[in-house]
Amino acid sequence: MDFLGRVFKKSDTMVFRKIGAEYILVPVRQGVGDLESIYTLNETAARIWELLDGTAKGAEIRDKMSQEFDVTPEEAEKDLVHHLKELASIQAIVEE
Amino acid sequence: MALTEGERQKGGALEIAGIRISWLPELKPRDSIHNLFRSAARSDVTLCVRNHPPPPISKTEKTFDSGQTWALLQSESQLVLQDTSLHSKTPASRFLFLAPDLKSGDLYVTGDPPQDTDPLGYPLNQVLWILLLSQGRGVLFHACGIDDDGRGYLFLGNSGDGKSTTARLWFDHGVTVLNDDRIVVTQKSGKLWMHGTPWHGDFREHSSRGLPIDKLFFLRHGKRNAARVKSGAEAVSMLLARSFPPFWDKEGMGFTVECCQRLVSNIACFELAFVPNARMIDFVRSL
Repeated sequence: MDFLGRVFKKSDTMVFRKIGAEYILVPVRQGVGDLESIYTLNETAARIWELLDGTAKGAEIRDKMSQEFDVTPEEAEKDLVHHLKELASIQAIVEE
Repeated sequence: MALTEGERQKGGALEIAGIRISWLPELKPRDSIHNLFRSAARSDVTLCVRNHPPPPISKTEKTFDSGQTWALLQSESQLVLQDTSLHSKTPASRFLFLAPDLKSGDLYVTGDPPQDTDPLGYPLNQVLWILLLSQGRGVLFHACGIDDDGRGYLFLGNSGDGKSTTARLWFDHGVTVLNDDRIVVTQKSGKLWMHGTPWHGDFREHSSRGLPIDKLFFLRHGKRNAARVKSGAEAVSMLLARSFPPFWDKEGMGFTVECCQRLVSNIACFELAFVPNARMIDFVRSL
């Protein structure tokens, strides 16, 4: 999937809360929940989460991450794609 | 304590963590509606118990299915709670129809009366409290609560982590046990309180008392008594995993997460490995 050219937003079915530099994500669900349905985002993933505003393309988020974390665009892209894949797999984000 | 048929007919009330539910027998045509309101005036929820099957439920939409013992449905403006899963082969014997504001409802009971302290019985009573708590009131936890002469210790754990063993140890030392399996946490006068419930657990000497929480422990069995401080997102996540949240309700879920964060921000939290003997008591008091 081309993550850089697409725009993603946070899913409406996800409850999230910032705790320190991290985020806790809990999906709203219709079936029984368990421990696996509580997710914690580390500092990098948390910043990506904040930047997923439904308007920024993946490439723009990569560039911001590169600047803010003082890493090369290639490193930022690797992190971004990894975290977007993870967030998509738990249905925390949807394509705009 | 099980209700007798006579007690169920007479009506009554149950109060847990400051939330009071009254139930009344089915109204007869000559009964005055004013009497009903007067007797139920102080309750948060008033239920009318009806000893017959419910009317057909129209236009239902599944809200949540526990997969085993209960399901929550939306039927037009009402919430309907039933005591079986939608996938169960056993027909439901209790249906609770709740008004949109959750302040009143009709409980339809068929078959044997529930062996519980109220006509709702398990699990409808606990699910109703979860619904009411999630309206900004508090959270139900999988926990054992101890009142150590005014110092409140909350021991959280899943099945097998040692909650009942902990309750027995403290009880044998003359300490009050609020409950060994279900504890409600609320915020009152700027403090976080824990409250006993009459639900679940192996330990029968529970208390309806409430008191502020001094320390909070994530229990597990260990080879020696040891405590590690827990904080931040990790501690909030551990609390959530030991809570009974309204998974189906975004707003209520948001409040539950917020309440867990408040607990972690205001109360000392430890992961506690313990050996089941009296030394655990001094160890906990010393932390």
